[in-house]
Order: sequence, then C-alpha cells, then structure tokens
Amino acid sequence: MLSYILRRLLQFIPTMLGAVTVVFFLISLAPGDPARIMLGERAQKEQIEELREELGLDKPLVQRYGIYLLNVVQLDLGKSIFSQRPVVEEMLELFPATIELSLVAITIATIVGIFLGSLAAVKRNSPFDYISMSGALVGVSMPVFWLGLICIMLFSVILDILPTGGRINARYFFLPITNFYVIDSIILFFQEKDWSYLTSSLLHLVLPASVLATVPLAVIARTTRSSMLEVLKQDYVRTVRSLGVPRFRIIRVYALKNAMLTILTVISIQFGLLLSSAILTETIFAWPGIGRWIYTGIAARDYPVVQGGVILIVGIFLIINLVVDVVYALVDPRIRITKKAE
Amino acid sequence: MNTTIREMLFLLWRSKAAFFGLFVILLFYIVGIFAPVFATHDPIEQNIDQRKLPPFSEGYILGTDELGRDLYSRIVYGARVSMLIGVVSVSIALVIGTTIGMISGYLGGAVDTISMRVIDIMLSFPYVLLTIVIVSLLGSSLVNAMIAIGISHIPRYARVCRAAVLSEKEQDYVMAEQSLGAGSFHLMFKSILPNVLAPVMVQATLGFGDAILSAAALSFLGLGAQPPTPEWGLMIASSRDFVTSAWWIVTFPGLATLFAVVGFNVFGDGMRDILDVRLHD
Amino acid sequence: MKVLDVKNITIGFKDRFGFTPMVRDLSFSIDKGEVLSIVGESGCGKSITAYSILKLMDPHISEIRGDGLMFGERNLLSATESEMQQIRGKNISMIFQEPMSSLNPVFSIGAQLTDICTLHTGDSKKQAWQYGIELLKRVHIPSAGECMHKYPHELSGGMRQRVLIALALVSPSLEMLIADEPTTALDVTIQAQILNLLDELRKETGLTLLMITHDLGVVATLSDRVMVMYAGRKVEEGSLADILNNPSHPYTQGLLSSLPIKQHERLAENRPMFAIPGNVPSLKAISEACPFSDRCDRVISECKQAFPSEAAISDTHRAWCNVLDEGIKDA
Repeated sequence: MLSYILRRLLQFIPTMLGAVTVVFFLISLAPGDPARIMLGERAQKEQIEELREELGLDKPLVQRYGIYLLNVVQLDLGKSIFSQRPVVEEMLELFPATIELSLVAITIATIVGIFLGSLAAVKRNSPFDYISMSGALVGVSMPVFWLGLICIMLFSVILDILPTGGRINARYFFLPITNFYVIDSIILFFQEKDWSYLTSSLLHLVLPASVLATVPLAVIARTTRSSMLEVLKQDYVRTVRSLGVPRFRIIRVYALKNAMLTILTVISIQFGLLLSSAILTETIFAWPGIGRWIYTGIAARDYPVVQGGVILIVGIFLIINLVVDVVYALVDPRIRITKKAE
Repeated sequence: MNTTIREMLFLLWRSKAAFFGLFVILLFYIVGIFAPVFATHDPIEQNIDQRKLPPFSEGYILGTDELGRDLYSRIVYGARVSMLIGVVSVSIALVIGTTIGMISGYLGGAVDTISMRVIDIMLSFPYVLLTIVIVSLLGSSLVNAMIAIGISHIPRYARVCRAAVLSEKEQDYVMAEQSLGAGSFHLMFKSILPNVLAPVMVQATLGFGDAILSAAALSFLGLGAQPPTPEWGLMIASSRDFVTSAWWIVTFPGLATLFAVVGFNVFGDGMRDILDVRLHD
Repeated sequence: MKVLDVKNITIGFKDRFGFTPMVRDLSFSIDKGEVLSIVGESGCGKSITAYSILKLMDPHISEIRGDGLMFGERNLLSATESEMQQIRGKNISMIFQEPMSSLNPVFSIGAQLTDICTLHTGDSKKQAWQYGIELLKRVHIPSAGECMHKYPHELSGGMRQRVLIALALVSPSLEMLIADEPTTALDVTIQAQILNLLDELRKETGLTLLMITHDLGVVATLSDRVMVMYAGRKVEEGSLADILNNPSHPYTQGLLSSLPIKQHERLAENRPMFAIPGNVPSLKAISEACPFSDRCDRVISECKQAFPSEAAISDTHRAWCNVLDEGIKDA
C-alpha cells in the first residue's frame, strides 16, 4: 500500500513538470511584448530594451525556461507586471477566498448529487427519476455565467434577498485574520458578540456557491445514478438479495461503496473543472479570488499572474487526483494488486 | 456492433428523448443555415431610437438590445455561429484525436507511451482552463477559440479511440485476419475503424454541446467572438449591465444556448444507450 | 412432507408487446431432505424456475402466474417483497453459477459473513465473527480465521464457492438450498470437491436441496429424483434410477447418449458420435406443440398439435410424450 502511494507520488512529479512547461511556453509564446505592455505604447525603444533586460526577456527562451523552472521549485513565480508585487504573495492573499467558495460548492454538489442520484436509481423510471434527471440534464447544458446573471436578476434585483456580489457587506470594516471570511466572522462573533458579520458573509456565499455547484451537482447526480444502476445489476448484489438483505440496506451499505469508486473519480474531475469555472463565477459575483485574478490577468496581459494562477489550479487538481487515487486504493483492495502488476 | 441503420432509426424512434434531441439539433441547423430567411432584421444594424424595447414590441418579437438591434434576429444568426463553432472544433478534435488514439493504440510501445504522456499532461489541466490558456496564446478571436476548443477536446477522442483499438486488437477476427497476412494499414482502417466509430460518434455528439458552451464562456470572458458578432456568449456578456433594467437581453440568448446544448446532450445520451457504448472517462 | 410444492406455474417476461412465457405449466414438489435435480440444456428455463422460487427476477419485466408456489403453508406467489426478504437467506438460500463475481469485491469475507449473520441470527458483531469462522470451517476452508480477513480476489473459484455456500448456510432455520449450476464455472477436480461438500452437508443436516444443472454427471452423484426440462416444459420425471436406467422421453435418451462414456462406446464400435439434430428452439417461437417435435426422430402428427399428456411409466416415473412405446433407441 505504502509503495503504491509512493509510486503514485512519483508519477505526480513528471506530470506537474509537464504542466509547468506547457504553461510557460504557451504563455511566453503569446503575442505581445510584456515590456511594451508595461510601459505603454508611447515608450521609447531604449526604455523598452532596458526593461526587457531587467525582466530577463532578452535571454533565449530555453534559458528563460530554465530560470523559470528553478524559480518555481523555490516557489517564486515572479512579479505581477501591474501591481509589481510578487505573484505568490498576491496568490496567498486571494487563495482563501477561492478555497472557501469552491469547498462550499463541491460539498453542496457532492451531498445533493449523491443523494439525488441514488434516489433516482432506486426509484428508476418513477416521476422522481424523470424530474431529477431532466433537471440534471439542464444543469449540465447550461452556461454557468448565464445562470449567475439570472440568479442575480431573480434573487438580488427582483426579490432583493441576496447580495449581488462581494464577500461581505462593504459597510463592515473588516480586518481579515485567516482570510476565510466565514472563519473570520466566527472569530469576530466570539470577540464582539455580533452576528452580523457571519450572516453577511454566509449570505454572500449563497449565490456564487450555488451557481458554481450547479454543473458538478448535475454531473455527480447523473454519474451516481448510472453507476448505481450498473452496480445493482452485478452478481454480488443478487447474492445479498438472495440472502434476504433488505433493499434499502443493499443500496446504502453494499452498492454505494462499489459505486463510490466511479463517483469519486468524477468528483475529483469536477473539482478541477469547478476551480476553473471559478474564473467565470468569481468574475460575475465580484468575488476577489484566484479566478477573478486570472481573468484580470488575462485581460491585462499580466503573464506572470496568469502563469501563476494556472499552475496553482493545475497543482491543486493534480493533488486531488492523487488523493482520490489513494482513497480508491483504500476502498478497493483489487487496485493495490492490479496497479502493482503494471 | 451489428446494428444496421434501419434498426438504429427504429431504436431512435422508440427512445423519445433521443428523437427529441435530434429534432432540436436539426431545428438549430436549419435555422442557422437559413438564418437570413428566419431573421426579421439585420443582426448588427443599430437603431439608436429603438434601444431596449421589451419583447412583443412592434416589429421586435423578442425586443431589442442596448444598441437597438433586434434580439430575435441576433439569436437566429447566433445559431449559425454556434453551429459553426460546433462543427469546426469537433472536426479538429475528432480528426487529430482519433488519429493519435488509433496510431498509439495500434503501434503500442514508445509511440504509445509518449503520446499518452502528452495526453496525460493535457488532462492535468481542467479542460476549461486549457482552453483559456491556449486562446491566450493564439489571441482572442472566434476562430482561435474554435481551434483552442478543438485542441482541448483531443484527449477524449484519443483515449476513447485508443481503448477501443486495444480491445479490438485482442478480438479473434483481427488476429485471424492478421494470420491471413493482412497488412497493418489495411487492418487498422478496414477492420478496426468501423468498430471504433460508435464510441467516437457518441463522444462527438456530446462534444458539440460542450464546444458550444465553452465558446460561449470564452466569448463571455472576451477571449472568443468579438463585437458586433451575434454570438450567444458575447450577447450574454454584454447584457451584464442590464440585469436591473432589461431582463430579456439577459434571458433569451442564454435560453437559446441551453436549448441547443440540451438537444446535443439528449441525442448523445440516447445514441450511447442505443449503441451500448461505454465511455471510459 | 413437502417442503416446496409448485403448482402449475407459468413464468415469463412482459414488455409493452405482451407476455412471453419462458416456462410453461410447470408442477413439481420436493420432500423434506430430498435432493431434486432439474436437468436441461442452457435456455430451457431451469434457472428461471430457480430464481422464481425466491422471486429474484425484476417484477417490472417478469411475471409468475399459476395455481401456487407453496413453501410449507405459505403461498409465495402472493408474498410481498418484504415478506420474501424474510424468507430469503433465512428459510431458503441459493448459490449461483458464478462464484467469481458473486462476492462483493470491496468487502472482506469476514465483513460479508458477519453482516449476513447479524441479519439472520441477531448475534452481536463479535459473536457473528466467531460464527462466521465456524461456518468457514464447516465448508472446509483451511485456516478459516485468516480467510475472514481476505478479500474475494485473493481466493480461488472453488474457495469462493465455499464461502458462498457458507453464506447460504448462515440461517439456523434454513429449510432448503437452491444450487443453480454450482459447479459449472469450476475446474473438474474442484467440481467433485464442491459436490462432496454439498452431499456431506445434506447428510449432516437433512437439508432439502434443489439442484439446477445441465451436467448429468452432477445429477448422478447427488440426486434422489430428477426432472428433465426442455424448452420451458417438463418432459420427464423420475427417480435417479428411473432416469439413468430407463430414460423414456426421446430427449432424455438423447441427453444420455451424449454422455462421454456412451460416446466412447460408440467410437469403440466404429459408429459415429451421437448428436441430437437441430438446436434448442427459441423460447419466443414456441407454439402449443411438443417443443421437441422438430428434432425428434419419432415425431408423429399429434406431436405437432398439442403438448402430449402425462404418461405414467411406473409409480415414480412419468414422461410427457406420445411415442414412448417405440422403445429405447441407441441408449
């Protein structure tokens, strides 16, 4: 088991290296000279040359790649062209916002998705099945950013019950402690005995988290249903049925654990997609996280920011895949054997 | 897969959902191809006097947008743009992906290892992110968005195709033909291709919907179609400022996108059930 | 005393086009402690019959009609799903053809055994674990304590079938065991071990056994009584000796002539190997005629008109054929 985890870890390194390489070359080859972007169109040729030298842009690409790689290993992702602050520093500041949002979203998606999916599988071909699966189909077919706008229109403009964006009501003077606003406002509650911070931060989470959760929820519900139906067809389910295990218990104890293997993989893929669709959701809801940061980086051609942001998301995505593979091996004893044979 | 075309059509007819999907797809293609016939106005002609007219205003069935353009006509022309996006990006992905999958599955060895390594790296990017990164290299335009979407769809075809080739390779009839002295090229395309077709077709149908959605997202971020192109994602993007004042500008382009993508997804799901294909993804 | 009394049942699949019978007008019974074998080619409806006793088939696509499926005093035809859950595994258990896939791959043997034990005995987890080890010993699994910690993929097919038998034997109030082709998927040497085990268990506990098989070798080892099925119909029924020594229905005769030992005799006499001409008819295409009439070399016109009525050969021995008097050919 331990050797399996180690081997899986070793696979992680070249893939991550490959991803960093791809990001570096794709973005460095993009049209537009960063030095010119920084200095504006009217800058003198000498000034630009000087800055290029300063940024190391005059060196050959391969050499720049080597330097970049060395820096990445030391967790140095360069400086933002616009704010002139180290990318890693900005990233750490914004990251909690994204993690807060995406963890809430994936939790909603997982719990509701698995629940709906297994219920639909159990009540196959019932009205409940049709309605929830049609809902899931609509969920996967919807432009997320459009759903966000519709929700803002409905809940913020027409009904006026939820805020349109931001992480907390701007009236509150707020000095972040952990930068997870929900945690911060709980701390504030204990210090000042004031609920309003917590209510405000939670209310601000509702819309962006629900919108962000929509697609993964729909995909998880569909996968749960189909893999559950697949499992229920298996011989081992017939065995426990022939032994008198009640139907509900078969589903909850026996089938779910088997179906969970497929569902886990889907959850991990969906988490990666969720992190990248955060670029859209955070932009719509003015959520100051990594997604919006990447978006403004793209718009402003701030290439160190884009590189850094993309590498961060890919890194998280790969780590989640790694964790899921390990959990997979823990749940399914066959994996440990077959993977060893590879 | 011994299902003949007639049997397939029969199954399609029986599966009402898939049939509905096919109907929606055809509808959108007809509307897209004959956009000038269906449209009532020029989709990019501005009319400052007629800005933000609500639906059912005289002459404007779905109302007008912030520049006084007819929303209905823009959506009709948008169907043309979205269908084009689907065709171009799916074709790019399908041709390159299938070729990679076929060659690497058939040849195996180092070719297989290297190409699968590349595919793995591509898959280590969440798909939306990969598209964004590629577009930011190519520059923002509709054509580049289509290319980027096409490239980021390659892994799914390569994988599906490779898996199908690998399992077909083990089949008795391929071995039998090989022992009868059939050449590799002949084998690969004559024997294996028809069997790989089913999963690839299903993947392509579902890919259409994905491509339309991604293109809309890219345009929304300003990385795809540029104004004044009547592209649905772009229309949604420019409607952002009107959530408080003009609900129709926000709502209709999104509904059109939703309707089209549902069509492709329903049809793809139906095809998958009919052809009994399992997508290993 | 009859443990199971099946009265004139018809089992079939239903879809939007109607009802397609797979097994027709079937009646049989099993006495306590008896071993009844149902023999027939694959697709003759014997497995469907076994599944129907426990009502394991999806009620949305299948239906059992008839006069009764009496288990003791209870008529299982009218039992609800939750009543059936009370009977399955507790009073009637079943073992299946596919030992390789019939155990859940992600649970250890111990987990699966103790779960079923707590269900049927009301024991605590700890007691159930001990009981599980006992059961594994009873089915002759070496180092039973260790086996409890293993996962199905770590066991051979024969071992898995033993575990499945142990699972089936959990309930102390077990009255009948249905074995659906329990040895078909196993190596020949292992087959004999499993058959010995079943024989031993029924001698020890007086268990009633319903054996479903296509293998006359299995029948000869274990049965008291044999019932031969062909294309959804019962065609002959009798004691083991009746069937082996005096097969009367042309199909049974053909089946016996196909045995390797008989074939060997024929070859030694320079005669060609025996084969029943033709194929088993598709169950969907069956008419009211004798289903064997297309392949039978003694066929007369009556055979094509209706299914033959019962013909008693002796007190224990019956066949459903119009031309029994033709005598035994080649057997």
